[in-house]
Amino acid sequence: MGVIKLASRIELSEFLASTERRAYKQALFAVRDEHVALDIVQDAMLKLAEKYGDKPLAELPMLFQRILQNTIRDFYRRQKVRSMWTTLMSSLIPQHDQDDIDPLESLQDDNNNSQSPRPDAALAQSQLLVIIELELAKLPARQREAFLLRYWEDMDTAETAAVMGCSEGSVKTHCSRATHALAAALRSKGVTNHEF
Amino acid sequence: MNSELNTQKIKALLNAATTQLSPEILDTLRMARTRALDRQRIRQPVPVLAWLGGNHSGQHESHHFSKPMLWLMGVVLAASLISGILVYQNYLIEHEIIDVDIAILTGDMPINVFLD
Repeated sequence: MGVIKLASRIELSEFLASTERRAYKQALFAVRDEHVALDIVQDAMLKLAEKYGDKPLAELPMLFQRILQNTIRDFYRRQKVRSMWTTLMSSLIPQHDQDDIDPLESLQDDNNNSQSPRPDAALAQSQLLVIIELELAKLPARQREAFLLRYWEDMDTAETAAVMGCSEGSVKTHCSRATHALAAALRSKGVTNHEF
Repeated sequence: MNSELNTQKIKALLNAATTQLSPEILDTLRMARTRALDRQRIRQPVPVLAWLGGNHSGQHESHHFSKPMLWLMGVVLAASLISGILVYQNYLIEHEIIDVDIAILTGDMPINVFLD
């Protein structure tokens, strides 16, 4: 019978250090606000350490993802209630419309000499990244969640389903729709497959 | 359609994006990590009677009584119960002897004294 090794402080620290940046980006895609994203990641880290800090190291990635996704969903719920009250009270706080941001604005203009010269490859990558991040942020929450867990966190369908609290079939459907939507969006921006 | 999307390339790009985070964000994440580690739940053996020495260094003390204290209270209760039973038995034996002594002095011996 194998011995289950519980996570030590150092191991938990290393795990959090290895995952915190991706977690932040995931939260940022979901909430589109740096401060809120940081709060969400901090909450998720605290919950993991407080409640599951003595769990085996191998269980931490799934536990952390589950906590992170739940914390993001909690934010959505609070936001929904808040926006309901905001509508009722006819708040005057201006809202930033993310749809106004055009990723093509960040593309380099070859005829514009005012731009500082940068290596073409790095520029193309950063432009592509801007487009991908924007398109990811536009995906429906569940599709984005499934896509990032499957293809960024390298979880299999069963693990993704466990984290998302749904069936494996739902995960496959979400992933399929997300990849279709992303591929279509990239094509519409003129990004072809060979650029990958 | 899925084959048109190179998920490995997207993963590589997203990973690259995590290396471009601002120092402020990285600092905040590091502080959050430190704070979380300070609250890490650790399963560790608690020495029995450690609370007697005023050693309350445990991280989670949401309960009024610690586990060793509950054990000690149980032992004290059991000891009190046993000593109480012994004292009561002693009391009964003493009273029985006194009754017999009085009966002998008064010549009023109960019939059960002669039945053996």
